[in-house]
Order: sequence, then C-alpha cells, then structure tokens
Amino acid sequence: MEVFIAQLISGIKLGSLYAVVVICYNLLILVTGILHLGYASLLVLSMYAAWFVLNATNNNLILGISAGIVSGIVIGTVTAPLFLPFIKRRAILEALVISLALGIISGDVMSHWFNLGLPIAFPSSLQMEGTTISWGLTIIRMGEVVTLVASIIIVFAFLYFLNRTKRGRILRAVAQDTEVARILGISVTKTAIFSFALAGLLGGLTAILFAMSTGTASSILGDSLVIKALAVLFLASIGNLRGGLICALILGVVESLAMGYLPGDWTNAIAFSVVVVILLFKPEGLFGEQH
Amino acid sequence: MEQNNNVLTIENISVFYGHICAIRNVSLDAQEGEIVGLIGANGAGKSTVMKAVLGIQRSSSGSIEFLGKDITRMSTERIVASGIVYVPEGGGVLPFMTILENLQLGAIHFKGNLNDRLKQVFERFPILEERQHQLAGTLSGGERQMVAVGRALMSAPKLLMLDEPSLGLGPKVVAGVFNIILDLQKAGYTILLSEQNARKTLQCANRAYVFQTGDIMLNGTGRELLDNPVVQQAYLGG
Repeated sequence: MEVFIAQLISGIKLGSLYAVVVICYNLLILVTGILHLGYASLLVLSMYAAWFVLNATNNNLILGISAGIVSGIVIGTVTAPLFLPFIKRRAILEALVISLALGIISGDVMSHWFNLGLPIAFPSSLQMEGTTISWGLTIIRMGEVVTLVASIIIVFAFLYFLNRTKRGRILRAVAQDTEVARILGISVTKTAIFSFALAGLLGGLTAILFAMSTGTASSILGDSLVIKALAVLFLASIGNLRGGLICALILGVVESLAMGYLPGDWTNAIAFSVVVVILLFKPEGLFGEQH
Repeated sequence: MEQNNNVLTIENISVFYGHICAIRNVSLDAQEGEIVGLIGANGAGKSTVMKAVLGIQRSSSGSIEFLGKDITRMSTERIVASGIVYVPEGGGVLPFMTILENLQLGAIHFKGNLNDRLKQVFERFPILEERQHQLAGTLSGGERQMVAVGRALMSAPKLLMLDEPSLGLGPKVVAGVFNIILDLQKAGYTILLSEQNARKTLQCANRAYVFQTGDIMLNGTGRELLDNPVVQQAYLGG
C-alpha cells in the first residue's frame, strides 16, 4: 500500500509537470500551427542554463532559478523568427523540420559542450533534500511537494490568463480564426512571437521544477519528454487543452505505477499502444476538438 | 491636403490575386455621415475594395486616404487602430467565444472607457446583454450579424465597412439589418456597405457605386441609380 501511495503521489507530480509541457505544445499548435518537436530539448537547455549559473555562483539558488526562467523566455523569443515565414505560409512541414533541427542542435550542444557530456546534477539545496514529509514508510522530499503545487498553480494561472485577460483573448482569437483576428486589428506575427515567449517562460519554469524534482538532467531528457508530450497530444486530440491536462495526469500516474510494479519502464510502449488503438477507432482523439 | 470632408478617398487602386486582376483602377470616396453602397454581382470586386482599405489585400497602385492620412502602406493593425472597422461576410464572429468576449475583442485598440462603450453597445442591442455569456456559435445568422456589428462599434470607429450583411438571412431579418444600418447613420457613423441586395441598398444609401468584374461601371446617388434603366435591367430585376 505504501509503495502504491508513494508511486501515486510521484505519478501525479510527474503528470502535472507533463501537463505544463503539453499546455505549451498546445499553445504553440493552436496559435502558430506548429508542432514544435524541439521544444522539449529547448526546455532541457534551460535546465542547463540554470545549472551553469548555479555552478558559477556557488549554488546561489535565486540566480540559478532566475537563469532557468529567463533563458526559457530568451530561447523562445529568439527562435520565434525562424518560424515566422512558415507560420505565415502555414508551411507545417518546413516548420516541423526547423523545430526538429533546433531540438537536435540543442541536444548536441548539451551533450558535447557542458560537463564533459555527463549528466548534470543539481545541488541538493534546490531539491530541498533536508526537508521531508513522511507518512509510514512513504517519504516525500519537499522539492517534490513544491513541484506538484507549483505546476498546478502554473496550469491554473495559465488557464486564468487565457480565459480572463485581454492578451489571453487575443491568443484564443488567433487560435480560432487567424483571418478574423487580423480583421480585428490583431497582429498575427506579434501574437505568434508572444506565444513563443510565453511557451518559453512556461518552459523555463518547468525546467526549474524538473531540476527540483529529479535532481539531474541530460540531453536525453528532452527526447523522452517530447515522446511523452506527443503521446498525450494524440491521446487527448491535438489542441484540446482540458483533454491534454487529464491525459498528462493519467500518463504520469501510469508511468509511475509501471515503474513501481513492472521490471523496466514500459510506459512509452503502453502509452503508444493506446495511441494506436485510439487513432484507429477514434481518430479525433479521446476528447475531440475543442477551443 | 484637399479641402473636403471626405472620410475615405480611394484613388486608382488595383488589386491582383496572383495574375488575376480583382479590381482595376478603382476610385471612390465616402464623406462624413454618408452611407456609400457598393453593389454588383458576386466576384465583382466589392469585398476586395474593403480588404484593400483594411490592408489585408495590398493594392499594386494608387492610394488610399483616411481622414486626410495616407494609409495605403499601413499595417492592418494600425489601420484598425486609426478607426476603420470591417465586418466580413457572415460577420466573422468567433463561435467558441462568448458574445461578451467577441465584443471585448472589438475594443483591443479602443483607448476610452471599455465599460461605457460596452453599455452603449448593449443599449443598441439589448439582446446581446441578455445573452452575453452565451457562446456566439449558438446564435442564429441574424443574431451573429448583430454581434459582428456590435463588435465593430466597440472601438468607436470613424468608418464602418459592412460586407454583405444581409447575405443568407431571411427577409424579415434583412429588413432588420437595414434598419440597424440606417440607425447607425443617424448616430453619425460613416458607412461603406457592400451588398448584392441592390434595391434595399440603393434605397438607404446616399450614394452608390456599381461594380462589374473589377471595374466601377456607374456611380451616383441612390435615387439616380434606382431610376437608371441599366441598373434596373441588371440588378433590380427589370
């Protein structure tokens, strides 16, 4: 029972992190039409940025966390212009290649440039290793609790922003109908750049949360993350925010339980078997299209 | 600058879609407080003129002046911000947003008090206030047109361009739409109105331009055109 509860909690934590990543994928898909395959690698690059600053400042947490977040925004904004010509032409395939290229390049930078290509480790102070909550045999690090709470806050803050603010309405207008948005005097280009910056900000935050909860990172994390994100996107149907949140949580829990009870990590195999079945029998995804 | 009270002056604009010429050397103007009709068949270039004014389609020659300022090369964003709104065919309402959200989107460049503006639009269209939290996609064609016009009014525009507002609506609703347009004129708005419903348009327009395959064939006051045998033959059913 204790194992189950521990795995369940860790699964919900993992799922809520996936949820933030999936939100970013959906945001970019809805506003710009781009499935940004390289996004997860860029997110891990922010973890490296945080690690680099932590190392350089003798583990100054505030500077390290800021570096992760700021690098996310910078990476998002700086890479946006690469996509703009393709967004305008709705050239999905070319944009896909650009995003893949960004992921591959940043993956190589991380694995050859930093730390002799070894996985990086974050200081235990970031993971708040000293503070734990224990319940029977279940011991949860404070870092994990913070990750869980923070990612839930991020999700709700994003939904609030999207549904209740002027900028959020503008994003949704572009997502629903680019032509009408343009007629209303919305600059589709500016909105696209803004959504890249926003996805970057969320990516930077998520990078810090990943660092907090796992304590390590390597360029492989990006590859594994993009696979999870794709699984969730196809399960929930691309562009469906609410469905994405639910499926991300389910995937996190399934992954965590599978790791607790099965020899080896079968999550991707399980998840993508379900994806194949769903695509065959319910091509619009579990939740269908929704804006 | 010319000494006139033109809100909009279009001089010799041409728009091409690839190699196909949509409008050729079109010149027209609209004066303050006027309803100016653009009539003609589908594909004659009426919508293209409006899209060129809004900067969505670029003219390859000529100039467009709005309130004495050259807007020919301005971005759509700045053109809208300067006071021109366009209601496209069918209204262009965003179906997955509420009526209120649609209206709020009409005011993204509005500098004044948003709540006052919203109140004014609700006074004009009380039904929109009742249903403000309903998704726009659940509305009928006539109601959507109302949302579209309401949304256009949110920015307190100086020029209102309505593209086929009566298209696809039942006769009763069409009459309602034209009443709304006349009310808007009384409220002081300058209106450019593109319509296939030539009779109704000529009845309420101060002046009108008759389009045929990208050219302006005729222009005159609504009365003159209603009496013109060519117009009667081609657009008013003889």
